[in-house]
Amino acid sequence: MENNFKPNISDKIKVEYHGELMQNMFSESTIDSSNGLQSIQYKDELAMLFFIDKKHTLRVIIQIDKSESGWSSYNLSTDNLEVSAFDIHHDDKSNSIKIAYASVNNDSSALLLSDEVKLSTIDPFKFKDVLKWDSININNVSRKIDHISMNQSGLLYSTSYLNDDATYSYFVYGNKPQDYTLPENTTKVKQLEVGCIYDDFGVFLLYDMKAERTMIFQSFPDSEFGEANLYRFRPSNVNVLDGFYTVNNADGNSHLYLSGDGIYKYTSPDDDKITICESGKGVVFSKIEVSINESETTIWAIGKANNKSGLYYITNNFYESADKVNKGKWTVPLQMQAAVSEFSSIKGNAFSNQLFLLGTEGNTNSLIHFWQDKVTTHWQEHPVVLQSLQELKTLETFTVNIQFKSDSSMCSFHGEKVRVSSEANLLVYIGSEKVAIGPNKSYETSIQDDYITIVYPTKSIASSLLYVEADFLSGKETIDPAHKLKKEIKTKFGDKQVLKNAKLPSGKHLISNTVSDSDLSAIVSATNKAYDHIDDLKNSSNSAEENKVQLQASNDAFLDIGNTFGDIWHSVKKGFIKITEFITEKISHGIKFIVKIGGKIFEWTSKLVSDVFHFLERIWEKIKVFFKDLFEYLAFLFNWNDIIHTKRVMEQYISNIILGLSDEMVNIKKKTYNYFDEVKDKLKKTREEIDFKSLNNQNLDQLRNVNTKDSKIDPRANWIGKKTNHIVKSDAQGKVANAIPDNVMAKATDISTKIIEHFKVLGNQAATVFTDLTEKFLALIHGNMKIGDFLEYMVLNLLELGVAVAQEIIDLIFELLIELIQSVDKILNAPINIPFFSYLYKNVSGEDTFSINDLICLLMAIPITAMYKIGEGEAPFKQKIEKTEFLNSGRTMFKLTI
Amino acid sequence: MNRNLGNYDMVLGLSTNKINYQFSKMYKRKIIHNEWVFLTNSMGKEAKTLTSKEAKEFWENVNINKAAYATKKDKLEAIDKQIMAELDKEDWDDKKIKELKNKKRKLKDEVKVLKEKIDEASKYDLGLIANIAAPKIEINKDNAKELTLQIIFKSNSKLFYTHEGKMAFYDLGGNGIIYAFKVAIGKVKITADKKIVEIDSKGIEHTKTLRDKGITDNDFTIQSLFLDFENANIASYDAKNSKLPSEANNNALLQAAMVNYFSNLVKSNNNPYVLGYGIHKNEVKPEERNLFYPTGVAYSTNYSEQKRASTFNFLMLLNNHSFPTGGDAGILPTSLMEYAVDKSGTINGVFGMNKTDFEKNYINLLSNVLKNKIKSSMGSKCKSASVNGRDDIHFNFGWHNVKEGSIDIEYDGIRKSNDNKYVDIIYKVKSKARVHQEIKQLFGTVGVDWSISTKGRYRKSNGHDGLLIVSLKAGTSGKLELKVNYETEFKLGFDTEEPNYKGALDKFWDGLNKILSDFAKVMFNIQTDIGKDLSNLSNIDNIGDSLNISNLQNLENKIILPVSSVYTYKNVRLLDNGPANDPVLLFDTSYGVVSQ
Repeated sequence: MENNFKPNISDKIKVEYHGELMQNMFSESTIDSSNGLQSIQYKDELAMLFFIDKKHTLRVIIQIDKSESGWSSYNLSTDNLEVSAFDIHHDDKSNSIKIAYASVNNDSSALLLSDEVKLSTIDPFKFKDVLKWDSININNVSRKIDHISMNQSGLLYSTSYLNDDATYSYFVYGNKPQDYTLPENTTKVKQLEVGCIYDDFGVFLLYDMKAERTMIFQSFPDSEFGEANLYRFRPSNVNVLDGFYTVNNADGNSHLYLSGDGIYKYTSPDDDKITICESGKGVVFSKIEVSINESETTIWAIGKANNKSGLYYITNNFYESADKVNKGKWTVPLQMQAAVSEFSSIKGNAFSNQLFLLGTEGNTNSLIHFWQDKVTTHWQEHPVVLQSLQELKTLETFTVNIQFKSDSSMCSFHGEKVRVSSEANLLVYIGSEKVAIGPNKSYETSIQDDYITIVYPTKSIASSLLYVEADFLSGKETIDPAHKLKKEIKTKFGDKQVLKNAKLPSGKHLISNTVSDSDLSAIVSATNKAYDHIDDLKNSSNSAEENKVQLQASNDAFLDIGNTFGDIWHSVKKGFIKITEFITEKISHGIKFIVKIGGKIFEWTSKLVSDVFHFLERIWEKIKVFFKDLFEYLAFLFNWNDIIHTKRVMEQYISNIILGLSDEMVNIKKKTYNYFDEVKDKLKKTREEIDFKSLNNQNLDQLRNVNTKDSKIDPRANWIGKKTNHIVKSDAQGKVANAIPDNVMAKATDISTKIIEHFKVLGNQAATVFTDLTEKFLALIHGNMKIGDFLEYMVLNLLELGVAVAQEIIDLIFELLIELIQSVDKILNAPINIPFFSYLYKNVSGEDTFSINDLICLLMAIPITAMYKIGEGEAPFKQKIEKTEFLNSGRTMFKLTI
Repeated sequence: MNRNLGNYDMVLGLSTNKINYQFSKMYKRKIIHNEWVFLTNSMGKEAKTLTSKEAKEFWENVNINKAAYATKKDKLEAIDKQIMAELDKEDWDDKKIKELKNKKRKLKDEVKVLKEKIDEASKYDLGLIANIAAPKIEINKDNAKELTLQIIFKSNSKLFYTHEGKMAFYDLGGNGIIYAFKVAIGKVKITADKKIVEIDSKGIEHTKTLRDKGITDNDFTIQSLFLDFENANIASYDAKNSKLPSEANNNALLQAAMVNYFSNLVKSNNNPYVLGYGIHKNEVKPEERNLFYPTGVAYSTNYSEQKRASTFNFLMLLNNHSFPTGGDAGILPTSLMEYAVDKSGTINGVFGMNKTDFEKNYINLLSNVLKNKIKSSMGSKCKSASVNGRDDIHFNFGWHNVKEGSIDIEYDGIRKSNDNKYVDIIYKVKSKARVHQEIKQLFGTVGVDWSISTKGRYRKSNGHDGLLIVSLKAGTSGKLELKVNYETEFKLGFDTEEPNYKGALDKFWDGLNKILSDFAKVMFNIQTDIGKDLSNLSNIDNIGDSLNISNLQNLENKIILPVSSVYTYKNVRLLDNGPANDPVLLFDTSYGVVSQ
């Protein structure tokens, strides 16, 4: 039978989709980290991060593909220890790792070193258990270890002690640490690394002296003479030194990159230094990381200007014409992020640059995953988040629901597999998992019912295309999450009057009145032109694989920035570079974008439609319309006030239903008495006479089916989606059982005892019937049984027993029924805690407690409000008359219509 | 002039172990080549240094050229004979004659060239092509004015000579053969404008100018020392201490080679170097003139039994003092390295400075800085401030009932501290003032004047001096770090049992006891008020900052110690119980050139 419903290619399956720019919520929390960030790539494109958190514990965060938040976290050190320093050594070739950390406990220091762990075989969820630690015998435990540096052969650490000179120690793995002194009276070492100069092994040290720092290399004392070699590095006219990085040359000797007021490179003490960034530019660089890939060198640095720290990017990959020209020339440091205090970079195949950043107070997130897509050279950032059921993050997203339909045959799509990939490398949520997809990387997911949901967090109105493939599809289906948005933008931004009058939901004008008319006209015409280009692009052959981005200088400009398009674009987007002019031009193989930055002209070509939108966004920023404004203006926002209002109405409605039922019980009881009186004589006749079915046959469940088939795929209505997992997985149902008030249970027990007494005469049969009846009543409450059916069932069962039911028993039963009905109210309102929803509800309503009733009503209210709003333009139940009528209908739902 | 410093003002003792280590490093990096090649003449008239390739060619060519010459000459003769023979014929073949004549001409030219070469080569009939190990210096236990530079031969070293017109060589074998050179470092002096060496030729002493430039930081680098050690003007071949092969004949040749080579080197002005080359080294960029910049430099050595403690001493003079004379000039009673605090491989030298010179040059600056800081803290109550010739600071202060107030902060010397990282500069705080009170009576007032001071002890008051201590610590790049601590507060007391009364009748007033406490209060106020100004010094981050005085630079940013582009300093301490009773300020130093 199953095979008949399985879709296949010949069925001509249709793929329909609906994409919205909207808010979406995720139960995640960001990391509250402290310092010392290190990262490595442990498998495929997945990263492992290490840092010391605010409670001085050493933590590791592992990126796990296809998990809920994408990350999982462990503590590597125990709670009572204060970790003062740590380091990791990752051997790329064998993909193994060694970790060391120093801790202080009651003024006594300890140093722990782990065994080597092979990462390719470990289960990330069991990483902590695999680590085995060795305690290293350090010579003086009262000194505090403040820095650790590990390399292939050994471990180096520096120590400090109040009012005493700092020292450093080194040991080859397996040996005992040797202590060494420094050539000056310094109290603190800032940074240290093992290195090699002129074939001598030794240590690079940057240490503090009063009001300045000294950078040295001191070799280990040689075996023959017992003497050490000392080299000092101090670029002339540079007063501030703040960090360094060493890179090993092919011959094993170290090249030193020194940062402070400027960045300098020393290949050896005798050679002249190379100035990568001059001093006196107002930025002081501290932490730097250098990565070299053949002739291409990239430097990332934290720079502080005007007391604000940020992340800067420098490379010798200088673009001067269409091709990368490496003339040994360095780009001017380009600011890419603000408010960042630490970072760690790792290489990946899909990323041309990948970093993890620690944000400071100016930044909303603590730990950020920041990477550049190799394909488009665009930069993306995502906060590193852990699944947290106690917290909620709201993100701006494109949410797409893709539905599969077959007109010709009856197919069941549930459980079928589809593969999702995308035009650029992205991190998206599919189902309830966060996954990475790209042009060469697809993710396989199963269809639920007949649709799949993809949530694509974004900070831009430009979106990359998604592709869907399946065995039953003849080709690759292209999904454009912004298709609807693009149409809206054309109408709203392509007409000057519409734009001028545009208002945000808060009532404020979108365009401030300081913007001149001519600017506005320019913007509108630019928008329309852009759309012409898009049409052109769509018509011409458009291969999204290769984006020939070329950065060119025009005739009279001297290009001294030299970065890739994505780099500059990112910096522009962050506000670090200001563009003064924009021009677009259609050329044979795409579109040419021309901008003026600080008097210099840059141009590049692109074929991607998303680039046109990126461009438009920059243009709109000139009239102060930023992404957040666009989002507010264009996106579907959850207006929680309206939703809560609807929810309260629903709550009252249900309450009224129960009250109505409760009220009506009296009448039903009377009716039943009368009935039994009559039945005593005319048993058979009653079957036909009474038609309980004329009672308004409603069950609670129908209330829930407000969603039509169509609105099921509208992401705004189906926003809950997979979040229902939270309910299913929670132990709420158990809690509900516990919520039945005690006195009701007591009463029920009491009554049932009495009834049982009565029925003892009748034996087991009666007891079974009664139990069965209770079950059926619960089914009624759960909406699985119609009330008319229930009453008929009850009566007939009792009748069929042939029992001459005493009035008393009926009384008792009805007493119980009334109690139970009333207790339903209590059950529904007992406080429970369901992950995600509890937090969401408390957050948006401001109330303290959350009950099943709240959950049910909220779940009903969201789609009702959304759909009603879309249809009617305003939230439901706002009109008093409408609300009262609705509420009253609940009261009379169960009224006997006899 | 300090006996502990060999009658010099400052001495930097650099461990010879470090010098030898550096030489071995220079050798490994091929800055010092592993070959030693030269040509000389047994008559002592010529010497030439060249590369080993050139030398090998030279010696090979000796035989080759000789043989070729002989052959060519023979050929020439043969051609002549041929020509003669042809000419003798009746009808000679013109063409053939022409051919032969051409051949002859060519040969003649070749012969000429060869002759020149051979003549040239006969200039040198002795030469060395040697493989050497890293040169080493050795300190002479009994002679502080000389050291020995050793050049040790390795295998495959050859001595070449012409024997009976042919090239011959002797394999030196590298069996522990050492060439030793006596380096008369004690004869070198560097002044403000030139570098000279004292030469004793034929009993007449005169100086030879080695360089027309005065003292630079470069003179303190080990590479520069190496150049001095191999400078034939300073070094001389020490036959006695050399270890040469035992065969008499070759010994004589070797001796001749060395002696002749040397005498010719000395004559040459631009390449007087034993190993044949000057080292191309990076010039150390000097920083701004430091406070204790030497005006004269000389050298000496110290031998020590302790490991790594034998030193090569840079002897320095300040303030244009003249070079000391006398037998013990430059001879230190003990090697300074024996006083090193950090005995690990980090430290390879000790620097000593005459305490008196330090006081004369530095304390004055310090007193002025303190004066300025205290003056600005005192504000309007300070009437005047000055520093005297003994570096004492004097303030006059006063306010409405305090007259003729003065504070004397007297420099009291430098003292050792408990920590080998600091020395303490002591200032005694003394004070005196006259307090005036007008006490109201029924009719008029009683005027009372009382002198108070830190010496005052009357009326059970306990006046005593205060103590202001400035701790001095070695900073980076030759700077000194300062930290002020107002360690003991000064206290004032009554100078006399009774005060002075303004009027004669006032003497009979008996309310003095009642107002004693008022006086005490005034004394207390002065103490706390000025005490606060003094203790404020401890809170200033950069104590060495002088305020708005243009001619006094920021004292903590000033480079004090010499040659900080080549040496680092740490662990300052006072040696006051050295062999000679002449206190010295000592610093541990480490040799490390700055790359700018």
